[in-house]
Amino acid sequence: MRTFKNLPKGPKTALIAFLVGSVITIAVQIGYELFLERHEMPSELVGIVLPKPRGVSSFQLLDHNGQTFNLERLQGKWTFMFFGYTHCPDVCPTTMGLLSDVFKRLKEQHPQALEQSQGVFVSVDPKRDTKAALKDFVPYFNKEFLGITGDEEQIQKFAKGLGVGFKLSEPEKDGSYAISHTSAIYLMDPRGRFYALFQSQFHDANRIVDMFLKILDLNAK
Amino acid sequence: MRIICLTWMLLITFLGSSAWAGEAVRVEDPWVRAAPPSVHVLAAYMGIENKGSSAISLTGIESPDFAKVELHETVMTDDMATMVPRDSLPIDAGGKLELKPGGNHIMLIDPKKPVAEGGTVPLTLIFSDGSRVSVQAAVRKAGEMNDHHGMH
Repeated sequence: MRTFKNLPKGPKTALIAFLVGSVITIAVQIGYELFLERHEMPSELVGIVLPKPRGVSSFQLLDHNGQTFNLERLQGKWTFMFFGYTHCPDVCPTTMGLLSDVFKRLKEQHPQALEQSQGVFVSVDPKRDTKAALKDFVPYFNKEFLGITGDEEQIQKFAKGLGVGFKLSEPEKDGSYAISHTSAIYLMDPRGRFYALFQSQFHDANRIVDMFLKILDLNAK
Repeated sequence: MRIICLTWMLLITFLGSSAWAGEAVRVEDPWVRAAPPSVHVLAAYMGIENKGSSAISLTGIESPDFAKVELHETVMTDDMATMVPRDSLPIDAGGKLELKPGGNHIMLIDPKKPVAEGGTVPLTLIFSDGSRVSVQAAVRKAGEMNDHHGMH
């Protein structure tokens, strides 16, 4: 049998050279394509806007009014989306408060941008977050915001498609539990595709409004 | 009328801004984030300054208005937020402990009565040296500094 080890020295060197050469060529090509793709992008948006919007597969969830929430509901608007749960005292109300500030600023200063936007809170805790619980929690931050819940399996599927992670902690004696979850805000484009990601270090209302306006600009061209 | 106003201002200053425990601990701007009436958990935040000459720890918090009160820290790993319970939080001599959104916070569990924006929540902080400090935390939305606090 001729394995790599048994090859004479000459072909061995040639093979290594060929492999190294291929890797370098591919790396340069990927780098160049990324460069081209981001070429038009304002520098503030690099690392926030995805190189290419990513489509999500179909899903079937429920909004806090009991209406179906599926891909169609993401069409025609930019959707700011946050994944959390109502038993979360710190990160979730902080982030929802931030989104509330973002929408307030849009309403006051950029009503045209507001018209194209919606805010959505997706529960990662469907067991406790009923429609009623969400109806009470979510509109508190903005009357127009929608709370989304549904089958655990559908939520898992939707979250996974976006790379959203969440994990239940070991329940305490009284049955209460906390959930670790992604703290980023997801921006979906009006075609329902995952477009940009605001990670927690960018969670500043003015900054998000500025970035969003730049995104609208970029898409108006 | 003036006297009522003055008394009221003094009262608010007293309730809302700072409290002294002996001479060692100073609590700054205790507040609870206003939340929808039906929530089961809320968070309280404040700054705690240790004016003393030796280190102490915050070892517990009590409030008659909640079934349970716990100390937690929000820990971020790869943008995943996890709440980690803390038994105690140390404060160096001359140091300051910040309980703030996205970090260390007091978790108020199962309110016994509605926690309304504009109201206050009584909290008693318990320290490792056995001292206890009672404060009234103002219930308000994030980002709204206590107006009266700014006047000092």
